[in-house]
Amino acid sequence: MKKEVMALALALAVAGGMIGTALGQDNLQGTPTASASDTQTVADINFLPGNRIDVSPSNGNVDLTLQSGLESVVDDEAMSIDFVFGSLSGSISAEIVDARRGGTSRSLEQLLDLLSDDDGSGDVDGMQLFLCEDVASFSDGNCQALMADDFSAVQSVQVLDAGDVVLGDASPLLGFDGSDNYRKEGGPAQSLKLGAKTIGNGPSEAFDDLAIDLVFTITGSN
Amino acid sequence: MIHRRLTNYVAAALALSVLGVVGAQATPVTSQQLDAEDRVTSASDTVTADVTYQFVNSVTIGTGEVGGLTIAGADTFASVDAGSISYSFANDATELYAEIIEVNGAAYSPTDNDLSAWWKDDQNHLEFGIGPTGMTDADDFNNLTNGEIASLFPASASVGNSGRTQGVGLVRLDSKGDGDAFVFERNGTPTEDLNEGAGGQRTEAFRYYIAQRGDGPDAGFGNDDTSESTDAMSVTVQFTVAPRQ
Repeated sequence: MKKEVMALALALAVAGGMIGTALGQDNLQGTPTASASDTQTVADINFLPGNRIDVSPSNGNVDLTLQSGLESVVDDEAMSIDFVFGSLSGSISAEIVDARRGGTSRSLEQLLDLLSDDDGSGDVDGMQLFLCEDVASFSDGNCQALMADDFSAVQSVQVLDAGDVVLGDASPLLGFDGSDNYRKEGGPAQSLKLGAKTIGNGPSEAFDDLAIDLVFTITGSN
Repeated sequence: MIHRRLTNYVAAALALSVLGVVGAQATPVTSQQLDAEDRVTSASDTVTADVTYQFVNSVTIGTGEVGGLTIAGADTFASVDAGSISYSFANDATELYAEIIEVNGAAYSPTDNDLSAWWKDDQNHLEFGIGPTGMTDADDFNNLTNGEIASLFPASASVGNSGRTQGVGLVRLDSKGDGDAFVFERNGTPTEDLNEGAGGQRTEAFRYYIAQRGDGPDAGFGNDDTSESTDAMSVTVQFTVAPRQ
């Protein structure tokens, strides 16, 4: 008897659920206030990511050393740049935005003063910083300066353009078409290195406690 | 007792039935509105780099070979542009010096070398050395003071002709605090005052000279456009940056 009653209870529970889901069907409603519903499909929904950038040292810290007597140097370690263009007229640029000496913040003017030596003769010596392709040695064709060669100001480097940018005389550091990274993740990442060149006799002061912040910015609007 | 159990079972069945209806119709919630994000027209990321500049001992000569020193006839002095030298000191206990290491392409030997052709005695010989860029003729040379030229042959610390000996050796060109050294200067600033800690790099232009002392050596050498000409001579000078001895 107990089994029969349990079976009846289970059947009633299932029936109750079926009644709940059956409400709103195209039948004469016995009860005007019963709930009703219908469905509509919204098709062709798209999310195309855009204007994302992630830069990291490929292996450890970015650490550049130039010695007196050397003409130029390129860092051993590369920076990896992962990015997504939101627009085919987009671009990526880089520039030095901050500096610290021994952990204490320094202005960009103080950074340029540290890196240079003006002997008053009209020529300015110093250590000029560059952004370079992922190459083993420095060359003017593979690197672009992050500061003027007279150390008067920092300057932005045009790193990479998406497919449709026309910049006139300015050529980006990486000359390839960035359209493989257009509106989708998983496009090829790029590698860059920090480099330096001695101008004249280099800086007048040695230092090993300087840190700079290099900001990479991706821009573009559909 | 059986009735009580039956009643319990029926109540459970009814409860399950109601739950079945309710389960098919969840209670709606009221959504909370969040403003749309600003358009992402740009994004950025930052990487920090440690930058180091280090003074080390180094020396580089801009021109591998220079030539054209001739004393002929009534002349007693000649000089030639040597180009420039770039050198750096790791610290202020460092020196730059030079010496002749080859004569006519052969390593210099104190007992067997062609520089004997430059020497008669301490009063009569050829002097060869380094001087500043303004030293173009004998008058310029004579206006220089001790410490502005470096005689590489004879390489002697003596002042004046007497006491000179035939020979080569290390001749100091730049050293902190040594007023007698031939100090490369930039805008009147010697190396010891050039950089903080006295380390640093500098580039200097200079000239080589030869000067006839007395009557010079007995025999001449070199091309005199006659059938008795001999070969011109050559010397190789080595420049070294090293900790002060």
